[in-house]
Amino acid sequence: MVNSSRYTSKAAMRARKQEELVKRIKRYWQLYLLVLPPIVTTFIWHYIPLYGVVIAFKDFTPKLGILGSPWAGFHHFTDFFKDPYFFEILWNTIRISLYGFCMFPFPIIFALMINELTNAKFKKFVQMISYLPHFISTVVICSMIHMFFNVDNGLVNNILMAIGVIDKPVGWLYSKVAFDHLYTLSGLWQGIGWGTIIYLANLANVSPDLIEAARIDGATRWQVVWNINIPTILPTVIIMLILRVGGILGVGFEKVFLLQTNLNMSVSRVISTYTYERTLGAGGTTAYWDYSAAIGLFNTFINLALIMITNTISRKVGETSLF
Amino acid sequence: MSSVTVDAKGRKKKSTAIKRSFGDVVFDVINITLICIMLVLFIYPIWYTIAVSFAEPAEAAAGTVYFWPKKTTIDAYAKVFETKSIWISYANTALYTVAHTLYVLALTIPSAYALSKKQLPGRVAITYYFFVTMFLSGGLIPSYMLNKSLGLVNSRWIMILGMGVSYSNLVITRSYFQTSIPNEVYESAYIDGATEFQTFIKIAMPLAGAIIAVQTLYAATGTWNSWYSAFIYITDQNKWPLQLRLREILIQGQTQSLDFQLMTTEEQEEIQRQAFMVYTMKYAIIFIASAPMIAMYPFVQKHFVKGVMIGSVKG
Repeated sequence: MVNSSRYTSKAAMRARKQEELVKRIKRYWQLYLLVLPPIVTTFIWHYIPLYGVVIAFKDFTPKLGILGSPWAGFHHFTDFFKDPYFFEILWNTIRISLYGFCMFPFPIIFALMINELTNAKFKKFVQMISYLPHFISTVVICSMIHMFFNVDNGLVNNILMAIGVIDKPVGWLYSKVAFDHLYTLSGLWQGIGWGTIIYLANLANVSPDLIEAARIDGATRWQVVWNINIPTILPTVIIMLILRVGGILGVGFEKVFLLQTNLNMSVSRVISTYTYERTLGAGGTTAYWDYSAAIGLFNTFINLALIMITNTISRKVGETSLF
Repeated sequence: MSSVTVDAKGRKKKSTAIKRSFGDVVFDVINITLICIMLVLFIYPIWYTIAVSFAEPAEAAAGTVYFWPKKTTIDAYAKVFETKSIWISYANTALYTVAHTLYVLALTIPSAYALSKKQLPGRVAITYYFFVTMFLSGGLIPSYMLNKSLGLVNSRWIMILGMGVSYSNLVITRSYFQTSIPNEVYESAYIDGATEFQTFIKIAMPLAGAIIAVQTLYAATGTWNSWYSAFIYITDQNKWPLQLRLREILIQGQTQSLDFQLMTTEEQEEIQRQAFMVYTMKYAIIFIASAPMIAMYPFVQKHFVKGVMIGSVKG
């Protein structure tokens, strides 16, 4: 008796809760309407292609469509592991990415340096100038690299010859050694200033009293940087580090592609450019669409795994995590 | 005698408390020197580009311009201005930038506002729905297949439509609404019988100027500088945006698309000069392509920085 009444009251409560939820949902229908358009666009342009990835497991022909094409199992993946370019593009992707990763400390150091500038006007000026390259488009940056490092009347060759470092022009963009440096150091040039913003915002929170107290106690400028400023930005540094590690296999298409020349191909062919090269870059052929979807999926999978791993580690060790 | 030294000592002591020690001076000198070197590295490539664009073609071709040409001319600019294909792409980019920016704003601002409401049922699930897009994507071919079936290949719409929202922009905008507009303002509006639409338009929007500025600038610079989707999807040169044209001229070296008309003049020198001018024109094109950005930059710089700041507040 008692039990059943409790049950009915529980059921009633659940029903009432449900009713309330429905009421709340009804009440906020206008808010749902506001959030609906991006849900739709995201569904179309993100989730549908996500479904399209199934062609990685099919022998795709456009005539039969995604659904009609026969299943292929995992053979596109095993084909990729046997691809003559497999090790080359994997190594190129990892190498370029790791080199970029090594640039990680530079914005931090630069932010600490800017923070030590005592003249406010000069500080503003330095910040403004250093952010500027961030706004130059990838195409223009790559064009500038092509022009400055050109074997024929390029600025860099002209300067190096004028001061006698080299006696004949170097074809930097045709060099297998120079590609990594051109790619990464131009990225540093473009991104170092912009990268300081988040650290400078953190450094602005350091209490001036703390620094003054330390100075009165005889701390040198260097000691203030080392013992106050660096510990202040450390949590941000860790979060940025996690984000960076997660993208280790995410060498973007654009800049690599724009810096590619026939002669540096063996060091500049990365996963993203290879999938293009085999499909849209190869004229109208659709022969390798399924294959390149498999490569793309492989890439996504590795990235996801890396993010999960770093996130787990950082949650355990650093007590900060993304999700 | 002794009193003087005491006096001097006293003064000296006093001044060390205010004045910087020798170590501090060394610190500053090293720091400022390094920063000045970096400033030169930031400015010089840009400066050099401008310098060559104004150089007399022969001087530029000889490779002797380092800081400023001995003889300047604006002929390279004049020639670029005559080049129709560049202006077509310039106009296209302007159109794409305005349209796509509006599209992004229309999608991002209202939805971020809705997601800023903590009482909205399903808010977390919707947020995850967008969050997933950061880590999973279909990749080149599945996207291409979709856009092809939508009839967007080789259409101007591909430069305007699309997902239009990114998770990070949504979060930035959402946390702006959450932190900068106190909840009491909304509550009093609700009590007065305002609907959600009314509170959004009459309360949130007028207070959202800062975030709208940030999002506008991000979207506009992004579209102005974008190259990839046009490269993948647009083959019709009349629909090309500027960046695609730039790549053709500057990287692939397709200088014939400069509509390079050799004048009827018989003089060998003039022909030679025009041939050299292709080189300075490249630099002029870079400057022209980046000019709107650079002109706008000093005024809007602080908004960009603000965007990064809002984003760094964990929402």
